[in-house]
Amino acid sequence: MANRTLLTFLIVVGLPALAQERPNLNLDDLLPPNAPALEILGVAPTEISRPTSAKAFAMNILNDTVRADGGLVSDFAMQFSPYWWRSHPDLTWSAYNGTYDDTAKRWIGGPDIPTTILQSLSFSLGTTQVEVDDASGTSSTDDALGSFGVNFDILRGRPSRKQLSLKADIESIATSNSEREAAIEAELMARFGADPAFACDGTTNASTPLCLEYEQRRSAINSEIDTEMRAKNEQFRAQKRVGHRVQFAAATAYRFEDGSTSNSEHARTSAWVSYSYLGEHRDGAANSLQWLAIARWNKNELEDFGGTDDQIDIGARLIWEPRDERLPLSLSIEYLRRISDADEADGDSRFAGILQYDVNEEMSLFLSVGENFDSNLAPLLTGEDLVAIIGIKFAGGGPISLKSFE
Amino acid sequence: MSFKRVTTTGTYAVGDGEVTLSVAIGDAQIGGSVVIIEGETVGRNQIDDLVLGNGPDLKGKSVKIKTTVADVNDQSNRTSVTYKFSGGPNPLNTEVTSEVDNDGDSMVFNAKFNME
Repeated sequence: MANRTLLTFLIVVGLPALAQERPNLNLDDLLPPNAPALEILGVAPTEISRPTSAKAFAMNILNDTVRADGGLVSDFAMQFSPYWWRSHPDLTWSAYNGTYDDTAKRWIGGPDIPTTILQSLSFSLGTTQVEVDDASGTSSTDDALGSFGVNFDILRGRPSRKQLSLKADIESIATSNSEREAAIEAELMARFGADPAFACDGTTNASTPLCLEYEQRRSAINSEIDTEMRAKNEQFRAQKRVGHRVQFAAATAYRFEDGSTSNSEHARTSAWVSYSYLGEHRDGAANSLQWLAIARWNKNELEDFGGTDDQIDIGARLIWEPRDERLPLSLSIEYLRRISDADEADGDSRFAGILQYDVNEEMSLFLSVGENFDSNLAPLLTGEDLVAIIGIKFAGGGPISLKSFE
Repeated sequence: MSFKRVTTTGTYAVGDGEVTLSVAIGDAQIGGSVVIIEGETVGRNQIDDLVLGNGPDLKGKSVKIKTTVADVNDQSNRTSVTYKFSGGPNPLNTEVTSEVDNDGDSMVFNAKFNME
């Protein structure tokens, strides 16, 4: 861990001197984003409002989107999933995910496609100030860009059997907490004649000998259980879903002159769709190999915001990751083709092999070998014009080339 | 340490037949329960159609249910438990909901139902 922290420090300190221009489009850029409205604006705000109720949503919209003069604020970011705005007591974990039939050795049940869409449906909103490049550099204008996006899963895969095993562990720990608390309550009830689970609810009778002893002994158990529970919960949440996954996202952005909502023009619309398949190993954990196919469509209509063209990108990737979690490596082969009505050529493609090392959750180093856009597949086969790029990627950002070899 | 708790009490009218209990944990969360009648544990972990006893034998007794729920759902911090009694003249469904403060926290649901 210390070595990885030191590596992070050295890279971040040395980055300004080494960083060059961003390389061409990467297949990661085409993945359906979690907040497409922010993706289409090209912003990565540090704070995104995530209202968890209709009331909180209404308050955010009323208070945070409009300036005192009636114009749009220029730094708003929101993401929300209406399905989760209310409690779903009838939605058990098995109803949400399906169950594993141990006899038939297969996964059964789980939500149908309309329910999956409903449960994963997420909306995003964003605004940002329009910046223009001129002789004096980049400067801000009074114009604002506002965007709206939607994304959802059509198929979301299923939990691995490894995750199912971790679920059983968590249930066992939770049961242990229930039993140990109940044992204390039975003992105290015998001594004091009242069940502290109900007699000491909240602040009621908090300073009585019964409740003071109960609180002390119960806290000791909860503290012990909490450590164990959190460790299992982290493992549980870290498990990848296996099987088929289809995701969709779309967003549209408008430019608002002087931030006024009465004077707007369409800037860009994008749509993303991806299909991936991750198998399950014999031991129940996710497999090492994953297939990924991606398509993105862009329609740009403003000259100073991405140009004016229609663009389609399609790509595929085969990813291999070691099953040992102590090796945060991945090796992938990807093909990407761009078709744009702005290009005279038929289309342009990129083919590359990529080795990536995840320094931590925020940063990765990569070595990309292959041919970039503006060439064809032949160099990869002949070795001519082969390009190798050593670079760095940060969470939420695109790849940055540190050194390239041609 | 992050265990919040919520309590609920109720009654269930028994009949002559067998009374059964199911404890369903909602909001796609997971957890485990213990069911106690007059100091005796009659069920643990996942409670699904647990036979509590015959109505006349249960009459006048209380059923205590303690359920610990872990927040494992990335989409929501809400937690909920539904107590489903059947076997009496009418089934009873009692839903209790609450919300943990942070991802990964736990919620303890205490419930006591008097059998009448």
